[in-house]
Amino acid sequence: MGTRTPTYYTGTITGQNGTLITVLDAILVTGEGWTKTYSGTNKAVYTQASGNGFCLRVQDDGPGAGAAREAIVRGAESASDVDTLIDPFPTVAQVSDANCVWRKSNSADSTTRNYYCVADGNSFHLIVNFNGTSDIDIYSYFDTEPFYTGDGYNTAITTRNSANNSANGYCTNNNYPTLHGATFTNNMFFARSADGLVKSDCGNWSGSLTNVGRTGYNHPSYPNTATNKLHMGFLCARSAYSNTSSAGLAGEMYRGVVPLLLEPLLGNGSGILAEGDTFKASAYDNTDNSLELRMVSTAPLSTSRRVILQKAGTWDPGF
Amino acid sequence: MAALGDIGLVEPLRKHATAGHNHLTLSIGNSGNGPITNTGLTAATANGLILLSDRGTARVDATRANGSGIWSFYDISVGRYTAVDVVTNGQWFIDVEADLSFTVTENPGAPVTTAYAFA
Repeated sequence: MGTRTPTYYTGTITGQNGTLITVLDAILVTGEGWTKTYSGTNKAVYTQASGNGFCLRVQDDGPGAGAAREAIVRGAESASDVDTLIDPFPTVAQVSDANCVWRKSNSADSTTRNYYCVADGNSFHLIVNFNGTSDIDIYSYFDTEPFYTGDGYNTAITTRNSANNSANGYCTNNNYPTLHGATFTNNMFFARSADGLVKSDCGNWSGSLTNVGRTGYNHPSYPNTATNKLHMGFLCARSAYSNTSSAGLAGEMYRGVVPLLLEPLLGNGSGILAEGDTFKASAYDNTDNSLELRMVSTAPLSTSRRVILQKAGTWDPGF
Repeated sequence: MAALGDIGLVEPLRKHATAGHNHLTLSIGNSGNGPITNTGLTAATANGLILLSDRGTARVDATRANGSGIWSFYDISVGRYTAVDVVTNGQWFIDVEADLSFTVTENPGAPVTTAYAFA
């Protein structure tokens, strides 16, 4: 398996047509060597520079209910033109174009919103502060570090699955606790199941016990009383082996580790930690300020979801 | 935001993953599968088995896995679970060990009276 070398990007985006294309051109193409395989007016198909070599289509011409606030996104194993995807994930039947969106801003205008992104040759996580008051959602397209030799379909994408919705954290609705049973939601999709037989396989995050970045009421907050440290873990993704939110008989298995992120193992609150704090874990990687805490919800600290972006150094799940 | 220095501790993946989710398949059979056969209890009947747990995570699969009496349980952790056949009121204990091995034994007090409403 492998390690990753993340690069950190931050800047602003607006609720105007084409702005997501501009941001992704800079991050993926200029920064990480992805190929802009096809393009049109405010449309693009990006191909991973490494990993599975799969595609991400972005339609950023305001076609949906959110108009220019939102762009339609969809993964695919390949494409034949900017509008034609081959083996897309999710399929339109699973998530309609209207709902298969990433939200850039709550206002369809030139108001700037901050974004924070970590990326490499096949993966990225783009956190967009779309309402201007806190970090709101995390848009992800990534190859997991797979647990299974031969898993060649371990590319996944998140989607908000809700059109023109100003609510928070839709992409992390697929958190572990409410879905640790047989039910998944249509917020994360793998290209296929690990055996390749189920295309556009439903998935979900599977990190903590309660929410992503909030392990539960009895877990220590920061600082941990035993170690005086902020404990972190690796965030995994599960696969439903199904095209629907009901897991198939071979479903619910861990597919791999979500790259470039860590999950803060925090209990009911963040202690003194605050949005945007940076730090390191020297026993893991000794690069100063290599880790950055991001909230993906404006909910109170007791219930908000949190992720840690690894901005620099070496992301290493240890296998 | 602030630069907080060397405050982090990254827990090993193996520890984190196994703490979060275990997946275990157990078998309770009516024709030769495990200790239940030796109990003399009436077998679990189709559509009748429920899993009782005070740990809040364990569950039985929605449908019987096959016709030979194999049931799958998910999200099992260490400890004792009780499976009840709501048709025959037969009852079995499932004791899961730290290495996820398990034993299944009858509850000698069964059958007991149970009430269960299917939502």
